[in-house]
Amino acid sequence: MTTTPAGTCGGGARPEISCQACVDFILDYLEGVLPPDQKAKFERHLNMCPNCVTYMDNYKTTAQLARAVGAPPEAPAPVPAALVDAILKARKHAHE
Amino acid sequence: MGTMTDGTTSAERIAAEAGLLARLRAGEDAAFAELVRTHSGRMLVVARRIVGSETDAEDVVQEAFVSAFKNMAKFDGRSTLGTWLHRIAVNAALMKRRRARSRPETSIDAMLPQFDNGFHKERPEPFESVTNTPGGGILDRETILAALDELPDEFREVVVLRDIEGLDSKAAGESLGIRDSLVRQRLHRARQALMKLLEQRMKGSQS
Repeated sequence: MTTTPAGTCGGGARPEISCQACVDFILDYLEGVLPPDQKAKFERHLNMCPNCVTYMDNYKTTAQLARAVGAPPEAPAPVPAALVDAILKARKHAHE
Repeated sequence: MGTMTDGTTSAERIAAEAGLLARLRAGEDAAFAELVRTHSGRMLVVARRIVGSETDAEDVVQEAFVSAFKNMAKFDGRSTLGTWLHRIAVNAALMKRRRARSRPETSIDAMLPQFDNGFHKERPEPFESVTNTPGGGILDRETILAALDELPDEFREVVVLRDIEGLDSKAAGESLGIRDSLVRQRLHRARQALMKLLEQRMKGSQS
């Protein structure tokens, strides 16, 4: 594994933005709404920081896992007849 | 023109929906029965995903329909009836869950990454090294839902709406009564916290 130890970033070179700032930008970066100058700084940081690359990969995996819970959409559940009746009765009551 | 899986074209669907809507607005009983029979199955799936129990999910669907019937005049036709009902069901389920919450609200801060002077305090470990284990299955649906359940409600809700139910930030914000910028802010923190919770579960299952 090529990951640098925690507490360092990119083999001694001083990054333009900190790991913390880089992490703050991840969502905007992934959704393509990071302004160009920040995007350039973000990408330069990733080029020199394996920790942030790993962090962003894990972030993307997490979002994919969450999306996988809802996709593909499940087939409609069978609806008990009693529930349909209760809903329609509730409508009638609301009108009375 | 697109053809749906049941063989109807999208034009036929639009015409059928317009017809149903007109009958609903005219107060026709059969139209309400058709609406309930057509959409309650999907709403039940959504509600179950949020509230967990079958009984609560049925209550949610009933509450959602009652709310939809009351607000039928406000349906503006910009979305389909199915999308509109889906959103009402999500809101009803979120409300139900909030009302039922018995545990104290936890802070998300402890679940967020820690930094030391701007650098990662702990070295992030690649997920793949812990997900590609023999047998797999560590991160199954139940595990993800259980981790999600540990998030404070306001953070859990944005993941449910954005990632699981597939709403965009604007629609999610409308459901929650917050600005879309706040939805994004919460989503970002929620995903980071969820990452940590999943990581803990993966490590726990390996040891």
